[in-house]
Amino acid sequence: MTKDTEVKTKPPKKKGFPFGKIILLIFVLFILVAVLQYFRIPQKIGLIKSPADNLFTMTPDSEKALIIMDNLRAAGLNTRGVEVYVLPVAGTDHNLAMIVLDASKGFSFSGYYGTDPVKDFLTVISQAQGEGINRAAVTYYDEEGRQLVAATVPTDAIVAYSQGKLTDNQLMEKVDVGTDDLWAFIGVIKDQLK
Amino acid sequence: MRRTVLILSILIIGLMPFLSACDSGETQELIYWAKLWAIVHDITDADGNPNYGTVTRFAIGEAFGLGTTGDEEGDAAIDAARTLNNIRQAEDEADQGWEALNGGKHIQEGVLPHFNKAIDMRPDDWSYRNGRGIANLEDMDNPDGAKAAREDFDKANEIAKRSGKPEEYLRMLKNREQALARLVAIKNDDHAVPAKEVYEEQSSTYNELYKLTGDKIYLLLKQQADTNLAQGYYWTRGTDN
Repeated sequence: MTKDTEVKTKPPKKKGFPFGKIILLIFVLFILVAVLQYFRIPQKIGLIKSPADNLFTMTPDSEKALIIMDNLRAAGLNTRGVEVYVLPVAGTDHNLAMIVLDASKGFSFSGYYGTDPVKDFLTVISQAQGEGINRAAVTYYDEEGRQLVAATVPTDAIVAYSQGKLTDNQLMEKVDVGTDDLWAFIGVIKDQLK
Repeated sequence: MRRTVLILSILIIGLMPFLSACDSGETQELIYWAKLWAIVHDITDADGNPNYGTVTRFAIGEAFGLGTTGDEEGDAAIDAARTLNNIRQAEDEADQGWEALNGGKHIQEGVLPHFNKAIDMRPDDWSYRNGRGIANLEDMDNPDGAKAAREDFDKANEIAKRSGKPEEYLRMLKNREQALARLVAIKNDDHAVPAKEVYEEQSSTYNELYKLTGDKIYLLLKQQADTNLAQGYYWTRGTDN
């Protein structure tokens, strides 16, 4: 080929993805990460250790759990379908009192004899602080054994509340809630309220 | 940012008409607290009208794992509730193991599988190692039962000591002592006797507890276990009495 030769060539093809496709890909990845995170897939397949897996490795304290169960009975709660686990926090002197209300094992709010279940529960938990419990959590299972909702609050907030140092509003600011099965939960609540 | 989970936000909004319409007595207090919770977390206003901006913010935070209670133990408490099934199933297996052991079921077929499952589910729980260790002591069909038991007890010791808390080791020893005493009591009620190694383990456990606590009751209990050993009220592995 000489320099005089005219070479007719087609314009070179653009390499790589067009900008629009890149944006679309990022968007899809964004959604994918959100879905994986929402359903806690990395934790479920063992890629990431959950906070609970890191902190609650120790043997539950059955003696402290018995004391709390006795206090719940004394407060008027029908303890059928109720379980208490006291979970020591690894590397600290802290303990979490986890109270399970399991409708599939017979728990029912209608078996409650007090006037305000939340306040009575708070009283029991404030007593538990003397047992080294620094945080309480309640979780509810429906009649099919599905875990619907969990709520947690530090015991020092409960004690402050019982001493009149916190208002209802201030106490609720300290309460955190989580649930895994929203639709099942809504269904149960609807049934309860019919 | 405080974690106030998206789905519960939606839940509160979705349920507000039901909650507002409900006047029955038993659930009123719960409803009061649920409404209050929604208000203080800015999910709704005081009239129950949803704050969609807050919900969207929570949604994005939660979906990408940015949601947190602001407290590691708070996050773990919510998460523990989600993973509680593992603990409950392991406890159920261990309970069945104890029931089978104390009920005199065949150790290898009726007892050990339950403790094995519990240990598989929660390998760092010393109480299941204590349970399987005691079952192994009582397994007269296994010539290596005592050795297997020793391995379980050593592992339980190691787990309890690994915590770095002296009271955790004490709690583990008390758990073992109580389980051994319960087994001996059940055997006595049935006019039966335990394996020789059960008394030997009792004696060493009481001795350790006495050294750690100085409580003389453990010294007396150790002497009782030693007396049982001296009088030969036990089964010996590989013999019929």
